[in-house]
Amino acid sequence: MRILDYLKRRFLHAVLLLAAISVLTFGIAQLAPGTFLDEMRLNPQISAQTVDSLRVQYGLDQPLPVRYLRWIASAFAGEFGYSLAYNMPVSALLWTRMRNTFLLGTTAMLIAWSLALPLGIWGAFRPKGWIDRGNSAISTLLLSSPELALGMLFMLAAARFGVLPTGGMTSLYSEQTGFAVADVIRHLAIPATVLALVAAPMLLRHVRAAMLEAWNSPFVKAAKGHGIGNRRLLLHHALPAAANPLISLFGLSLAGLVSGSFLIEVIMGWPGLGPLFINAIFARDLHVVMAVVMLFSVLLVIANLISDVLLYAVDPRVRAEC
Amino acid sequence: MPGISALAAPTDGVSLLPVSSPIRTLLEVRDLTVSYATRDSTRVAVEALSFEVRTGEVLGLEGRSGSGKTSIALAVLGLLPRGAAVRGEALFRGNDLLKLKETQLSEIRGREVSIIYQEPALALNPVMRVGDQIAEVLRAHSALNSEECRQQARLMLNQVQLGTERYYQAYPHELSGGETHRIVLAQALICRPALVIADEPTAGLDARLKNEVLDLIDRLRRETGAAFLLISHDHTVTGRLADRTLNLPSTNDRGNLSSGMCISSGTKLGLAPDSRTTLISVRNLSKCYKPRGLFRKKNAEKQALHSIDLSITRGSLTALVGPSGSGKSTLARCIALLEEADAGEILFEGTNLLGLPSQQLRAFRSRLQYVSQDPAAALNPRLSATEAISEPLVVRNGASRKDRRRAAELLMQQTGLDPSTAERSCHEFSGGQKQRLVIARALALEPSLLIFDESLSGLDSQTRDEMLDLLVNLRHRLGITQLLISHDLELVSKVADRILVMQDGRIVEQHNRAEIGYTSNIGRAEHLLHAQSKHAFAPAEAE
Repeated sequence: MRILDYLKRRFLHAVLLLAAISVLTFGIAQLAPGTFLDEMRLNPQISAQTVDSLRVQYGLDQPLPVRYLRWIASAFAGEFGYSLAYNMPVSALLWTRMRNTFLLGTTAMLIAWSLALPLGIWGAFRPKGWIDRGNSAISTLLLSSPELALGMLFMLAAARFGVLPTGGMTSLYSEQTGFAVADVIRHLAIPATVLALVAAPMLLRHVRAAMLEAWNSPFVKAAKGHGIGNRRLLLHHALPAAANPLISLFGLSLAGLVSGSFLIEVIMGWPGLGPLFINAIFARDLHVVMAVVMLFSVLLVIANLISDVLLYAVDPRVRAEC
Repeated sequence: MPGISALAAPTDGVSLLPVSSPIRTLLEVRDLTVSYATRDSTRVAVEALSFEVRTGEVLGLEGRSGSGKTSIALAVLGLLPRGAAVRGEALFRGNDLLKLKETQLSEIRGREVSIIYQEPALALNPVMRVGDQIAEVLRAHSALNSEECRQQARLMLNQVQLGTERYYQAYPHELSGGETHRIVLAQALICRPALVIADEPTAGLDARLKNEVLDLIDRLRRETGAAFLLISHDHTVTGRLADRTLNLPSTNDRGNLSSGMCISSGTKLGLAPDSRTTLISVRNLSKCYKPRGLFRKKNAEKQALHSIDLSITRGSLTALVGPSGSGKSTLARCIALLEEADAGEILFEGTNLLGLPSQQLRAFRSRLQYVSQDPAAALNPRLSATEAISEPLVVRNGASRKDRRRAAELLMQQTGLDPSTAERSCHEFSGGQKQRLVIARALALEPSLLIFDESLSGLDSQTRDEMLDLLVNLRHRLGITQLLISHDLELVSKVADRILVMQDGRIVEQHNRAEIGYTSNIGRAEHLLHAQSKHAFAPAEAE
């Protein structure tokens, strides 16, 4: 089974990569000045002895390798370390927030791809047509406007018209009114749209470029010469041939959209990993930072693995190589 | 749907032979003119061409490269790129194909009139099974369901002698050159068209495969009764199959066709071929390709060169022949310093080039010029001919614009190109002309050694002969030493002083000029070269 060999190789790669990332992140985080306890030291109500005993209790007096190994051990135990700020295991903090971030990220990605694919394919089919020109103008506008401004604009509109909520993930008492799912969807609308609009132009350009190349390839022209209709040519001949770069892009966008939502989560009060991560950085809550970074690394690796498997499935030339 | 009904008994098609039918005109082309608008002028590719194809006959259209052969094929089916202007008429069963709408045309394409493209490897979708690609054509033109289409495609594959299921399931990259030719032939014939336009159906095949494909075309046309418009530069192809042959006039006035005999002053004529000193000698040269990556597969190393020894005399023309995969290109690229050998020595006028720091190598690079197989890929289509040819001069010493222009014109003359076309952009030249441009560019640096890596393989026979003349000329007039790499023994034996035969990364035979005449001596080489064409279908092992 060549696919199994291939996956085995990729998996080994991934494990080494993640180990390297964890060492680097842990090391680099130590370079930042200050620790979680430094703020406490400034507080005149907390005695130096208390701070020192906390230091020992949290194991911060240990040398760096020991602290790293302890964190690794705790990660394997499923706790991913201990949050000093929240005074609880990191894993307890992580899961609900991760779920929320995934919800936002995948919704945004679905929207972005369902915009980019048809528009990009059409743009390649009728380049310089009015749809293509419109796409190009709008995507230039979107690419050049910052995510933050776009988010603000939507929030302004939401506040003005009062149709959609301007922040958060649930309304008060929504559990009781029995419209919990609809309520979450209403809250999801603005952040997901903003994220999708930020990601879609880049995807669209790649889809268009890949399709344009496939559409102008000699084999599509040859198929046209055999009298195969445009619709079938586009979807059955050109699209599979263009799929190769798009699948790689899909993997990247999968990982990118989830981490790309941090800023939007913060400004729109979405209870995801973004606010947790940023607060943890400011509080120097090292284990939370580590856990979030590792989570995204794992996600990136998995997304790449998925796209590799898809490539393997779709492109016979890739199969021949590995 | 008359084409489809014939499918029921595909081998019974003999009865469709138009022997008894009255001679009828199937396609009548009148005053066909095709022109392309370029940046600042209009280039006429086909001018006022008229011909007719009768039911069931093979009409050969013969013309050299640049005579607009492909334009004719594409124009008839309305497949010319944007920017091409077509005038005239192409009456197919009374309908003017040039005036039909796209939707009407796509009903005729593949079903009534089908086309075989010049480069089958490019005409096949790399991510679709070849069997499905044949079925696709039928599917577009018939009411059969997918399974029935596939079944018919299998029958068709059988007819082109690729009957086993593994061929149906294969992807184009898993097939050999001859096999892809058969696939496109099957695509063209599956709907039983009345007319097949074949644009160089045997281009790029060696003599044996060419014969096989021609035999097959001959058999299939008898079985299906299809008329063929056979477009080729090769009179052996048209001579073999065509009932009638038309010669196309060349619309490209190339000026001096005699391979640029006019060598002007200012070039070095000093080195006569009789100065019998060794220019370059290679000792124990080895090269091994290792897969990269942390978790590379074991045993995937490929030893491309096994301690090669060879020396090239100044002013000589050495040919290196061998089957594909024998390492001849690797050797050429190592000598041209485009790849680094693992071990051994390359002595150029006594200096070992391996191990020289790159700063010092630069001086030698200009003296070793490499002409690749694909001239189109080696030329930047955005540059004009002058810019392309004189670019090495800019890189080397920044000569003035006027000097560069003069040098480029001189080089164009030397390589048999019309200097008045110097401002055309590179992509406007034909295949043979592009190869001349590349050679002119290589000559710009006054190299001591020119390496031609299969540079002649994509050209038609007439152009190729002209290029051979050019090589001989360059050698006699400029004293340039040449290393010619080819899979075509017959071709190189016309010009080479010495022929080296490579196999599996080793030089297995050497023949000097005196022996070349005796075919018995090179019998084994011949045998080696033919062995490649017989190599069987090898799906995953391909590369």
